[in-house]
Amino acid sequence: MRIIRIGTAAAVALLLTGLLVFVSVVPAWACDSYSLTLGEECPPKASIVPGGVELYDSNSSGDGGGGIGTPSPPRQRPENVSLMTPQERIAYLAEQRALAEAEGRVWRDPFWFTGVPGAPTAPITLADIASFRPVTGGSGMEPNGWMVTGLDTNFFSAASVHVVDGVLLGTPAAVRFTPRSWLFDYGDGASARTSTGGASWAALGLAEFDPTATSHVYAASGTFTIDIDVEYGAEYSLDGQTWTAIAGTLSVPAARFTATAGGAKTVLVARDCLANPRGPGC
Amino acid sequence: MRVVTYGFGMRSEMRRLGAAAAVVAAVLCLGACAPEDPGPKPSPDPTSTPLFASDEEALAAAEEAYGRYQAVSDAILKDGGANPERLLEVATQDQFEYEKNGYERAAASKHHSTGASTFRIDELQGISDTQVDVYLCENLSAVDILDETGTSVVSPDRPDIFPRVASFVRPADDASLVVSNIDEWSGEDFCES
Repeated sequence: MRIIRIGTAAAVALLLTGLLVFVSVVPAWACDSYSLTLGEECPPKASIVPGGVELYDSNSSGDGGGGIGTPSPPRQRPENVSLMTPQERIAYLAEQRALAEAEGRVWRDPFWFTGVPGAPTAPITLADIASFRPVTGGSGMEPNGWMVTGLDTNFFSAASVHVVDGVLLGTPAAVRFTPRSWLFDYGDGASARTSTGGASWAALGLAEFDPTATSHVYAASGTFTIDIDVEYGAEYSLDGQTWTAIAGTLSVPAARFTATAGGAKTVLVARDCLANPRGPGC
Repeated sequence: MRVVTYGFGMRSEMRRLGAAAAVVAAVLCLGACAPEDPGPKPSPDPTSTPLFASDEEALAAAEEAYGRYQAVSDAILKDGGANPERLLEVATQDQFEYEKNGYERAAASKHHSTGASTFRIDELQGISDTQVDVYLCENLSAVDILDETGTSVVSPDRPDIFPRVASFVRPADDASLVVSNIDEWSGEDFCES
């Protein structure tokens, strides 16, 4: 009774016979009723790693995680950082960072700035728009959660131009975020900066394991953590006025995948391709 | 003995991954694994008793509990986020703290909801001696959020139906289930069909 919707996992497991390790880290998403009803994008909440270790929010990483039997610390839910004042936000992030370090977790701030924020004459800097949170859109990897060494693994991020409304200097304002580049850290020492977020093989009209602008070939087996960051340029508009560019770019983590690469000795498909046309090898 | 399983989804999927791992282990082991040391086997806790005797009972209790939760949550949002502590009758403190943030935002923005949300339980995910987890489809098609002027502030892109995984616990012996956690389901959308 308890084995539900595990078809893909089982198929993949059968596909990659002879491999060690199971890892799956995918952010869990949670919305409060208000956010859900509004249709807001909600922050990632928790992730899972083998051994029953729970990670808290997307900024955590499993690097310092414990092993099997580690008691789960009490649930900690992410605050809505974007609603805080800059002072509150700085204090909150410092507190979270200290907490994470004390627990041996790795903490990354949800936002960090690159480039030089603000020319001297510009009244608005990236720091001023910290409460306008860009959404990074969906992202994905194909195959989902695993790679075959020597073949292309496709990563993509659907980040796009979008406008976030809010209040700036006490005035209703909008900030327009435009993705300038995508940073793919493939976790095996390789990284790429691309001008496209890429897309799924299906969307590109390609076959599985075809190379794409954002795909990567893993040479060796192992477990890798892949980070996708989006660098946004930002413009603001006060009270419906014209758009004014803000100096610098804002680097926002869009996705983190932890996945295992191995050689496929035998290709088995749990269900036939008619029943599961999206299955591996179909 | 090597076991490979991959999954995607959420925290509460651990249990199913465990089950899948067992199945995969069994499949992979059909051939040659027997001679290898199986390692220590966890013995079932003799004092643990399942929360419910049957899946049907658990589903019925979860359905009832989620219905109560939804009704209270709807009422709070309808009242513009007023008296959010009402939710404590149908949710754990932890879940309440999470929802409270939203209610406070609604109050600060002077937003209130109209209409009632509905849901259907899709499937039982699991029962343990302390918790029941279910897949459900939350239907917000009749729910709107309005600002002070009566204008809808709901994103035009908002879907009407959300696949979720809800967890329930029993706060005290013989008490009704209350909601202890809700995750949005990011895997396959089981609400579509």
